Amino acid sequence: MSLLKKTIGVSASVALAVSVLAVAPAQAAGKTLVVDTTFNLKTLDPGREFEPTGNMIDRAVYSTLMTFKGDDGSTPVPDLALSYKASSDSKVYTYKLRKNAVFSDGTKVTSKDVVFSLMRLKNLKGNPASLMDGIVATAPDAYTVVLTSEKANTAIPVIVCSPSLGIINSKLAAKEGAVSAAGADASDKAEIFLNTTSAGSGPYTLTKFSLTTEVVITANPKYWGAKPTYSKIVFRNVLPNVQRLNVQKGVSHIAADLSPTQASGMKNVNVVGGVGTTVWFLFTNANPKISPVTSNTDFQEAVRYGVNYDEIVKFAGTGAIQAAGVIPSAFQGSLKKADAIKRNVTKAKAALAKSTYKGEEIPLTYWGGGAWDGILFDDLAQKVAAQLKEVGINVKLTPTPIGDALTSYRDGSEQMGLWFWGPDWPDSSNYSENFGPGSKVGLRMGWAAGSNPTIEKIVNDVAAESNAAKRATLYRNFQLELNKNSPLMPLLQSPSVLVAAKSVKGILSNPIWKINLTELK
Amino acid sequence: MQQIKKSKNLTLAGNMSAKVSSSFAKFIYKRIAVGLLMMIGITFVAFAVTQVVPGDPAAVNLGQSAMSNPEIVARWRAEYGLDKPVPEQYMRYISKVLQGDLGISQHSRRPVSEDLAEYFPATIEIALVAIIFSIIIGFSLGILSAMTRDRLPDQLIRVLSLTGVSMPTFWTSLVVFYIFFFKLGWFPGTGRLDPGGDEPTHLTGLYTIDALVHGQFSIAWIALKHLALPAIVLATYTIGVLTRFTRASVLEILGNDYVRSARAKGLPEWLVIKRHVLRPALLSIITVAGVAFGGLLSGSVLVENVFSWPGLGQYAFKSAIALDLPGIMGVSIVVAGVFIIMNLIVDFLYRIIDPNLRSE
Repeated sequence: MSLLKKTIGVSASVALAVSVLAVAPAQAAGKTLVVDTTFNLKTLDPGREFEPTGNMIDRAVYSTLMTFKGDDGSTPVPDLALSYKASSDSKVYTYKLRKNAVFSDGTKVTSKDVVFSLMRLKNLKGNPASLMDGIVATAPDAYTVVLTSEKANTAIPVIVCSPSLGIINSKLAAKEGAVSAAGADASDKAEIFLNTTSAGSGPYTLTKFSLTTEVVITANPKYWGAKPTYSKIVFRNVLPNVQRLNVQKGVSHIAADLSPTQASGMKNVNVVGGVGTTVWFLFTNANPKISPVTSNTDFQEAVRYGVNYDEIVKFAGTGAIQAAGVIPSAFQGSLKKADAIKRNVTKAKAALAKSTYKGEEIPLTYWGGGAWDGILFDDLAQKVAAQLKEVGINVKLTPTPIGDALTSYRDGSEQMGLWFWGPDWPDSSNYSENFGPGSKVGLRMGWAAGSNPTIEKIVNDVAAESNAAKRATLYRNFQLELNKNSPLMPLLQSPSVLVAAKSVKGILSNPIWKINLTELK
Repeated sequence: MQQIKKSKNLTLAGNMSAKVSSSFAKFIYKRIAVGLLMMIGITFVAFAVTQVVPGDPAAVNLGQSAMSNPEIVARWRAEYGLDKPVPEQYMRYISKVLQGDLGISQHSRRPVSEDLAEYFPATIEIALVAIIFSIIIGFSLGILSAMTRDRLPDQLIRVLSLTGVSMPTFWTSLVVFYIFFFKLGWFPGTGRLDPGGDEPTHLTGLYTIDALVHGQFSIAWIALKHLALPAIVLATYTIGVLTRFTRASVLEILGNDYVRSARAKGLPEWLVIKRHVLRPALLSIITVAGVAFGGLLSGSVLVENVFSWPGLGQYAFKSAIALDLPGIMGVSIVVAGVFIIMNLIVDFLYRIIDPNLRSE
């Protein structure tokens, strides 16, 4: 029995040791803001970063030529540049820089830094390099920057707002191995430096960086603009389920990745809902070699009118809306609700009867187990399959690991695909350039150039049009035609939900950097 | 005469001892050599498996726009050597590994060795605490269970150990986190430290140890609080296994004739257990604990994700999602290395505990 007592004693000691650890949860003190988000982060080097978490952080660390305020993602406002002028052919943009802007080490920001940063991004040939495709930056004087595009490019004013085009301290960065000239992709060695010590002129500076745990930024004492409210911001990599508990418990101040369902019913917090810019879509491959069935226009019509869009929006939760067209509602030339495709079972069945479809199973490929903006691919695919079954189309769900799914999507071999598109830059040109026949997504849908001359003409016209009102009309026509005669079916715009502690004032969901951190009160 | 005999005996004992230590050294060398060969074999298997997995690493690591630019894609593939034939890729990789270079991670873009040096200590810290919890609790409960066979404590412990073994770790993590952090507030939230908290001065990468060594007691306390909950969750499965294993071993030994003889001689029960049961039971328990420790490293992925613990599990998960071959290979080598070392330690302990094995 003595041994029994000892055994019990040891167990009790362990239990006691554990209970001694019972403490109140840690509270963030003073003006520290704790943001919980699921990291989608590879680097904070602006010339290389192109991921949502990188955008969120770099927005606060690096100033750009122009920027957006609050939840806006379409109207550029001054940042390092006070103003800009566009040439009538939309090929030359001239930016006048403010003269009081300084980097965190006190060095003045000049046009040399801007040219260095933008040309470095271009020549690094990393993920965001395509933003500078066909664009060259030059500096006629210390406070003027000229961006010259090979072809008409009306998106430049919004492209320069991207955190990837953050301006770095060229002298400091060059000393640490940064290179802006051709060949930078091989010779630039500054990424590690920029992941440990920021070299920007934004309201914050980088204090701590970890890809998997925590990034800390602290207020830049030399910031030339209005001082931010929080002296320190801690970004933590946390699963959405845990984010929900943390923000409710008061351990964090903002939960950035909750779905509307997760956010509903939460108490003592502010839930900021908004419509995101991610557009989910379904496509049927238009290449007869991939599928003689899905490439049939009658079959496409059957799918187009067989989907129950209202049900899909309901499923996506509060804040989601039907994608009236492929261009998100916040952007120029987006369609109105009335223009959206509506379910018409009779029309769908009639089209299916006219098609070559004989009841075979059509594989629908998607990212198995994947989720975005709180929407699970598997659930959405099941919804679509069930709806198409009602009009007589047998869909075989084909969940696929992300690597494989991306490969089959990008090489255009999926018979039917369920995907989403987030803007590379916040402008409608991002859609007209990528969703027409023969374009990037067009080819992924097996939709070769020459398949729809009407749409292709609009795409060419809008690229050359510098008048904003005329461009808007062209974008609308582009989408109306897509909604009628294409293998693409826009489904929904996913919601964007932020949950914040009551103490956090002025929080808004931004389409590019998710949270307007530098404007919080 | 007696002195000569004594001297002969001593010489004989010395020879025996030298023979044993020589055979032991041979055993160690042999095991190390086998271990190294196994490591190379593991790199081959891991490399082959990653080649079989469908999917294009470029597609996962490059964005939409970058993927449509052949120049960017080609540069990326060349940077990671993916433009070479697969056998050449492997030979290049293995020759670099032999020089201590584990390559550059495709998702972190840093040397894999640096990544591992950053993430491995966090996992070792949690795994060490978990294995200590497991051994103390599992061993104690196992003995208690065996000694109260078929009585209430035994039944309760069996239910508990079965629960520990059968509950999915991810679910356990969430439930435990919800109860002990959110509802009761007994433990702090996720991560190794409080948000934005100062790290201890670096020495081993094990925050509790580093902080204590440097006299940073408040950091050590915070680190310990953060460590406790994930370590307990990680230990639940191992506690269950060790409890069941200890119970079975002890019951088996209790049925032996020499234990019955000891009892018949009137030895107190604690002495019977101490002298005749614990030592033989330890052999099998050490085997399980050794394997379990390796398992804790590879099984920490889910716990690390829930508790935002910046360890090898999270790194492995990110590498796998990004089809990051150097990252996956690096983790495989480290985990395999730990398994091999643990097996070596187990064999070594066997020889300490069981004298019969020393001369083999």
